[in-house]
Amino acid sequence: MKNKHTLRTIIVDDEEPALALLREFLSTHEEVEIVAECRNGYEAVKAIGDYKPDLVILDIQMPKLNGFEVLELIDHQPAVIFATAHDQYAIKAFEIHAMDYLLKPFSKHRLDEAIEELIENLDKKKRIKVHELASDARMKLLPLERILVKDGPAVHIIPAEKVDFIKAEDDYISIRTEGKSYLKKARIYSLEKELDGKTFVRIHRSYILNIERIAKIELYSKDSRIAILKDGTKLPVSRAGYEKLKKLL
Amino acid sequence: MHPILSNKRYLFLYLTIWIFICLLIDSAYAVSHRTQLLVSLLSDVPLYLLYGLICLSSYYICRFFPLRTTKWYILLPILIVAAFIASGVTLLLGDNWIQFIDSFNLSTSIIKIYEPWVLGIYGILILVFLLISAIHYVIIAFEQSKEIERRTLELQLLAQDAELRALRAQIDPHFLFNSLNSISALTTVDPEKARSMTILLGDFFRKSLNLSAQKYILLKDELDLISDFLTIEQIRFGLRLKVKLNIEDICKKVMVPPLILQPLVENAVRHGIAHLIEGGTIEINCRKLGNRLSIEVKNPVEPERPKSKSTGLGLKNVQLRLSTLYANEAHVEIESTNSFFHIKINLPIFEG
Repeated sequence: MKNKHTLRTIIVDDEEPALALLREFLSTHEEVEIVAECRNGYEAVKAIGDYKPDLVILDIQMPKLNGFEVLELIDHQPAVIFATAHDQYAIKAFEIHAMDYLLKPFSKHRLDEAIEELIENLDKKKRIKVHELASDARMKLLPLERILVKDGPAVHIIPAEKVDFIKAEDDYISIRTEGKSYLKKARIYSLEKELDGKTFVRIHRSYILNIERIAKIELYSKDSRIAILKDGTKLPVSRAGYEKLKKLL
Repeated sequence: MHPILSNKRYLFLYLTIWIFICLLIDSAYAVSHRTQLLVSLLSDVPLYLLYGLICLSSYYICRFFPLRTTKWYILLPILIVAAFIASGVTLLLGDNWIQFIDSFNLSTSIIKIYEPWVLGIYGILILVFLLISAIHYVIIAFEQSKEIERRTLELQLLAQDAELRALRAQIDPHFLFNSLNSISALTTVDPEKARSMTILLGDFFRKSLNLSAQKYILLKDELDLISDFLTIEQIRFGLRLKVKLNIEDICKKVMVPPLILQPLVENAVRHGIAHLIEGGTIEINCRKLGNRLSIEVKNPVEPERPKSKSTGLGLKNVQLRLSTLYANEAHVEIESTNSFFHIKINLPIFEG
């Protein structure tokens, strides 16, 4: 091989035999160096942050965070090869994004091919945008059932029904739940689209509200109202927001 | 089979109608002509009954010449000829019979009463024969519609049965693919284990095929299948998957529909254990409560995983099958909390 680039690799699978298989198959690849092995999504997010690998071989169905959620949470963008047993939807997503994937059980030959192709693409600087794939995958599972927030090395999983409201703050959103606020780098309009429209309403340019938290709505001025939540919090409601609320309540 | 002759109640009813008609006519005649009712009944009742029975034979003509496929100009002459013969024979026999009764000199000669009316009687008998033929056509039409109804019902049952069979055969393909992947890994690391897993997988699929072909199986057989399944899954998940079985011996001999428990255990692994980093214990309890069987499967779940909105396909199939097989006699109760999923099935036990 012309290229002597070393691929620093993390392998992720919650089943020990599956990890052992990857370990064995990769052992003949001199250019591949396994820097970490992870058995669940949490470990993977942390390891990818810590090691900033070139390649991640990622299982999809795992405890806590699935493969797509792992991709959503990482800042570093490694190349990714997915390994899955049987997931019609995932396969479609991979094909749309020209993403390589391994169908379990896979042969060593198949893995070799995937790695070779990957190295060629590294040369051409043709990288697949994993974030795009991840958000695409998420769209298919709508409405969003939980919001993932990365907080340093830790990952918070906030179930949608526990969210009180979401506030836009420049490039970030602040998610209010159970008396705490979490910051996430996201746009409020994309969350508005992803959350269940029967429970979450964009009541204002900067606010999405869980309607189950509303205690009452009061007139504030001619064109605007305020929503008073059960915990006493007051949020502005625009005219358009009020129209949307009226339809739901 | 003749619809009236083959059914004693119908035959009795039919002949009673004939006797009643005979009674009516003879009484009227006895009143107007002051003859002895008993004697005329003695001579007439056997003849009415005889003719009644002869008329029933028209059923076979009706069957042989269905209304829909026979032209009227063929059917009508056939029926008329048959009517002529039937009533002619009856008149001849009747003539001899009445003369025989007359020979005892019990009253005024009956034959003298009938003689002037012979042609009229002949005509009436022919009409009666044709009328009864018409009734037979109605009966045949009715029988056919009932037959069609029965067939439709039969087809419906067959379709339902096929559907149930299809429902049974739903073993998660993930399970197969992941197991094969494990085997692939073990072939170099631990060939002995790889071999035993192949055999287990073979056993599992063979058993599930055999069981699903039957309508009811011993609970013991289902438990054997589950044991294979869990042993395979334990190779995949390692120490994360623990199992606690609590099975009363007496339950093992109870007959249950096949693959009722298997999907539940599969769900316990797929939706429970597989999402827990540390894994957990699946508890399976089978108890006999009087003449009912109680089956419970309990597994821990990941609290942060939102409860899926749709009950899994496997669970839905189990519920559907139980309600088809046991109507309202089977109860399925689900307790789903933040930390565990507990399903309880309660079935009546069939004897034998």
